[in-house]
Amino acid sequence: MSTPPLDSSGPAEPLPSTAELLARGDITGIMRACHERRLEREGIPMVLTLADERGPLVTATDDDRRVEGGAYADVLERYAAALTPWARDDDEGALITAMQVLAYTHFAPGAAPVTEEDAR
Amino acid sequence: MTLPALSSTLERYRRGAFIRVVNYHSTPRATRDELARELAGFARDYAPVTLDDLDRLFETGEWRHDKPGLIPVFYEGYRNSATVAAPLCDELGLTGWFPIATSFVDCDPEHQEAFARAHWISLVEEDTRGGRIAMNWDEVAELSRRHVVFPHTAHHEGFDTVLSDADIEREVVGSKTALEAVTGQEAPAFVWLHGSSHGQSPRHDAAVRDAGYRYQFANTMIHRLR
Repeated sequence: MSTPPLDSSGPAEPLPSTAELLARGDITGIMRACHERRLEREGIPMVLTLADERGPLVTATDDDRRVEGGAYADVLERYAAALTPWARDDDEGALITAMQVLAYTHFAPGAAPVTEEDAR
Repeated sequence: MTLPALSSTLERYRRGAFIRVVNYHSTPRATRDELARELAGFARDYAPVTLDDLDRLFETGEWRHDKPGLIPVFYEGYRNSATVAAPLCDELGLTGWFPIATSFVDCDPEHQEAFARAHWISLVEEDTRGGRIAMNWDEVAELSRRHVVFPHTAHHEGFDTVLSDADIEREVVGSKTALEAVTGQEAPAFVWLHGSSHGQSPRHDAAVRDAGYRYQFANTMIHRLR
């Protein structure tokens, strides 16, 4: 299910909340909402990865952190499959788009914390 | 080199190698209360991330706070980053990270609007009422006492427009020298316009490494360089 285009000419209807979009599985709608934000009032959340160019990356010592990272990975994989199935693995623009939706949905203020359930 | 890719991003998430950031640009006084509410929500749910915290995370994989970490990043060197955002971070106990286009700070206030429009620095209405738009060097020095300040090039440039040796010297090295002269501290990180990753250009990568930066911030990751 997907949100109608934002330029439809009928009377304006209240935009659905992120939670409503998420409940509907409307990942495209979440992407649109994420890109419509007023950037002078809201920050752009991102869950950045850590890359060590000096050598092997150290794995987190904390089990909870790895579990949470696993849930982020599962959700990102699902969002990438929904939004950017056309993309090469190394398409940075596509990766950024999926990561923005991930952070907007599961990290921005008021967003639901990521859980393993989200990945299903 | 770690290039942006979905598969390697998934792998690093699964290893717990991630950190939350929130990227801000101009933070006008007119919307201070909304920013305050947003930052207060983050301060309630997340711990501040100091440079030591990030170093430790890379060295040991250990996160030593009860709550997960959050880095609020205030880009460009706007005056309102120093006068609106930083005081809110102070009130809320957040550590702000401030990438600064150093030539924006150096620019005569009379010409800062044109500088911004010439160099991809977005402005809101409040920024265009006249007067100084960028922070001044005293504000940069003051910020560096409690927060993390680092160069966002000199002129807010991307690596793809920094072509000659002189360009690289000015944007990568000169910006670091200017900032360190004011703060008296090592500038620990660097970020190109558009958040380009390390690994896109060997020549530019070498310049960033050789300048002595410890981190490079990018759109999808933070690179540890030294």
